[in-house]
Amino acid sequence: MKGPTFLKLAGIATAILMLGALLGGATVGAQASRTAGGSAFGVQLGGPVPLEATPTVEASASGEAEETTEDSLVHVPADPVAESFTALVQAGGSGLGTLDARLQAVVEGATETSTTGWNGRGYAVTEDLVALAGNLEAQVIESESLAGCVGGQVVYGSASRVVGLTLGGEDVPVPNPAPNQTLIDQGGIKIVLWETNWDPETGGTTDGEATVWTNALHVTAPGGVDLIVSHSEASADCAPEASVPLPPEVLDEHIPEAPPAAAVEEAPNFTG
Amino acid sequence: MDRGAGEPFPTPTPPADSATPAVTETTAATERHLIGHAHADEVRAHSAPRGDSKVIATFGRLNDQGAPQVFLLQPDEGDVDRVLRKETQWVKALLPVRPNGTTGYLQVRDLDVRGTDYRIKVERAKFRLTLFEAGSEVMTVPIGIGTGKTPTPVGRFYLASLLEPPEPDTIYGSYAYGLSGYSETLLDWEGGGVIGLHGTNAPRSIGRAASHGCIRMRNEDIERLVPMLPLGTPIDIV
Repeated sequence: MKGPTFLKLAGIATAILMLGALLGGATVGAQASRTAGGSAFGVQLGGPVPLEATPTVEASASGEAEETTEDSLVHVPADPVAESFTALVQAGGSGLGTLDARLQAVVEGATETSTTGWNGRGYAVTEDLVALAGNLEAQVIESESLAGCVGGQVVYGSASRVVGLTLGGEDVPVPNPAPNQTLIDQGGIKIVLWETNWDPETGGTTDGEATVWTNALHVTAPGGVDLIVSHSEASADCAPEASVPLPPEVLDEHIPEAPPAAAVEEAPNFTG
Repeated sequence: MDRGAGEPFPTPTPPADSATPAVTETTAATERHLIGHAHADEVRAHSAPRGDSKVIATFGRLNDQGAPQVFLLQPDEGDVDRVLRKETQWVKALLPVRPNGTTGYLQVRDLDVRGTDYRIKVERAKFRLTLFEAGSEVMTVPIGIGTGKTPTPVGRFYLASLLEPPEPDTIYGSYAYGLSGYSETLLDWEGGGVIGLHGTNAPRSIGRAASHGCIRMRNEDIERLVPMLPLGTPIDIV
């Protein structure tokens, strides 16, 4: 779909204001205590935009989690954490802008081990996004948020990727992706890529929060429009449980005594 | 248009746990040291308390000297009871590998955990070895140490093996403990360059820096240690 070039921000702003559908992603809750987990959703549109269409959302959760559908959102409870799910999100209607996206999100949580090497992971990928009356398109929008325990301390990670981004029908290259990269900030419209509170210098979070989050794409515009695409979160509780130490006399009795070493009859080959 | 679908998502690599060796002397009034005996056919030491972290080394039930494989455990303060109850999956341990002081994480389920109140302290400058039991000094004897070119390494180690030479009239004397540590200068020594604590057939080397790194004792002194000390007994060399 062709429209104004992305440099004609007035046109884009108009398209945003005309957008009348609230389309939900799928939101998954996060961790339990002394554990780790993540959450993710594909697309969230905030602001004073009335819901004038009923989106179709299909989702299934693996593992022991049960999904519920509320309006346009799919919720999967945090405990137990869903392993993965897929939701197809579509909405449209006359006089409305459209927002189509195919969402797949994965959340993982583990106390001791994780197949990814991290304890908590949230990941979201949104494909074939068409938004803002076609003025914003992208083929693949991914974000990943990670949390792990190293030496009893929590460390975080973040990653993001946007492929095939177009604005107003024009390709928008992103040659050197970096956290919190502002693509456009003009006329009240702001587009940020890889928006995150992850601090690449320290491995912590810039806001001191215990949860790291990543928005692959974040668009704000006049009128309170706030579009987030591919959001993920992760956290981990690395502190060991406080244990009541055994009294010394009990502790000593509890530890079996190591017997004296039995000598092996053999010529040594030590350094001498 | 290239969707990048063929390229994997650039998931950041998780940081490795930068375990640093603790070389500190314990001077508490009461000392109890945990020793892990390998009771699994294969014990893997990981760089972090995660099953998918890098494997530093793999051990069997016996070490290269034919002695039971043991490790000096270094649980966090307050975690000792969790290790004993096997309520924690991982425990940090000092490993008998190069470089000296290497630590790794072992699975508690692969170990039988024992304790000892004994600790050895070697003071190179004073050519002196002291045995402590529950923090109290029980024995002090003279020793010989390595030369300037083949020094006895500094750090915390543990007794990893005990050998009784078939022929007592050798440089190793009547008994020889192999430590968990290695010479830091003899890198091509047959057997790996394991540092020993042993008797000697050259008592004149006691009180001198004359060995290739081993700690030499009089035979009568090491024969006093053998009935007491378990494998895994920590030895601090300063």
